[in-house]
Amino acid sequence: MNTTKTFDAKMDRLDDVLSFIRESALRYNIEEASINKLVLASEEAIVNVFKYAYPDDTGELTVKCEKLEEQQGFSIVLIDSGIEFDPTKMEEPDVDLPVEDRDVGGLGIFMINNIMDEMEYKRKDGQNILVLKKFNIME
Amino acid sequence: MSNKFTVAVDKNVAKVKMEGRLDTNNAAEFSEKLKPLLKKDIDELVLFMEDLNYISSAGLRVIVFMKQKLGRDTDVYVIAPQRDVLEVIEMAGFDSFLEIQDSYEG
Repeated sequence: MNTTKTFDAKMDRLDDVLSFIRESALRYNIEEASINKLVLASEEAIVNVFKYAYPDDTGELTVKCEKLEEQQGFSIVLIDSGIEFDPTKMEEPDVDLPVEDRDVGGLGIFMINNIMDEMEYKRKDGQNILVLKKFNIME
Repeated sequence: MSNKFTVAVDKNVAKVKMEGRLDTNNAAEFSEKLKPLLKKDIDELVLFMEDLNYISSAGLRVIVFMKQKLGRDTDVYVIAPQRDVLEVIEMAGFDSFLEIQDSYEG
């Protein structure tokens, strides 16, 4: 079973994309707490696509949710045809800094790295393909 | 549940009731609600999170922004966060500068 859907890459569609991911994960009987984290990591990654791959707000985002054969894993694949953008190259903020010195950017990528077990990026045929994987969350 | 943020200021304490979700779509609205507090003399910013189901980094950014602008003499409290929300706060390392409590007296 795999679930794929394409959306307009616009910020006001964000909730629809996240609902789709939530529903897909529910079908695999993933528990609520894990789904919330998957949705959180996805939000961060999707917002990056909307902001950096499609800065002028036009284009499409395809989301593919699938079960992995390995390690009871679940993956979320984000595919867009926008400007080349590799989130794995983004810098993480130093979360140990005192609050006065905190950089308010970069938190999103930090959360993705913390929640997901793997994040792979490739640029192929004019597309950004981001694969987020989480293991050991299937019943 | 719909998303709702209610701000009430009593003397030097600002109480904010947060309901629903705080994410990329409404972080700006949340920020606008809180910004007037920067013009006041606030000793405590109290965020009631009991009914907040979800927070993303966009929401966390507003909180760290407020803490930075209000300064070190203003304490920011987080009251009764749900487990998922608390996990996100801890994951981001925000528990180092937020006072997280089950309830608020005062």
